[in-house]
Amino acid sequence: MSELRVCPIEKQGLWVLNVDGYINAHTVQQFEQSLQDLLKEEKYRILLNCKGLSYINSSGLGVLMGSIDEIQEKDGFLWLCDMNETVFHIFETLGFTHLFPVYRDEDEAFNKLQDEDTPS
Amino acid sequence: MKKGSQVRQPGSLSIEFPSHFRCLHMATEFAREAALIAEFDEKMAAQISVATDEAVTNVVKHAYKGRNDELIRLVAEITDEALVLKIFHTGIPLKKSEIKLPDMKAYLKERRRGGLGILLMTKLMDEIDYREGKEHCCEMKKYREKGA
Repeated sequence: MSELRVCPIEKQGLWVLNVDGYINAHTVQQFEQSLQDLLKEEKYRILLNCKGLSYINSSGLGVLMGSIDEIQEKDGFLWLCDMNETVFHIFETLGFTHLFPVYRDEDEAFNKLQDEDTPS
Repeated sequence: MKKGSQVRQPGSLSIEFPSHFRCLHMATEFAREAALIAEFDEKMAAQISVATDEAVTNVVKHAYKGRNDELIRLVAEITDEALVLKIFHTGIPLKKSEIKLPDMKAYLKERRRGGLGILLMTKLMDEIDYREGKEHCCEMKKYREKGA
């Protein structure tokens, strides 16, 4: 397994950031750069697909915290999906699930997006 | 021993490595494997490995101030009642009295960044202690009753 691979793909009006590997103090700069690249290009609707993410440490959580203000100020969002048990446990234990919506998989996230984008 | 059975007998495993972030993943894999050998399940082993990541990261960042030419010794002791992980270093010792765990409600409200490593360690492990000596030590315990 490579240390970390982050691959952005545009899908149905949002940017899916596929994360493969692990986020620790060694790889966190690469993760932060990938996220910052999207923000520089004014892409503020982001879904972080964690299907290939084996674990994230507190420095990775710091990257998410460091970008959420800018994203929300631009009426964007940072959602996450497909977390393994360990990653979800970390998010839930620290209360990050209150700040970052977590979906079971991409389909669930896209359904939520469709609901939000549909005028009532 | 039956084929495929695990080893649940007292013993210890250890590795020594440079204080470089590049070695972090190896340290976490070592802790995960030690937890599996000690018969913790995959879920617990993964949590123990993340706690180890945080502990070793703290040593590199704070005890050694980011210097990557120092040494870290990681020892996993398997006892009847627990898995004990000890992280030894000769950098600046962390004093227990200096530890201030964040209030997560305020932390999330104020969108703070950083300072979650020790809190995460305390959430994932059952006991954490810091000792000063010739080599300083961060000791983390996970008990079997709660985890395996």
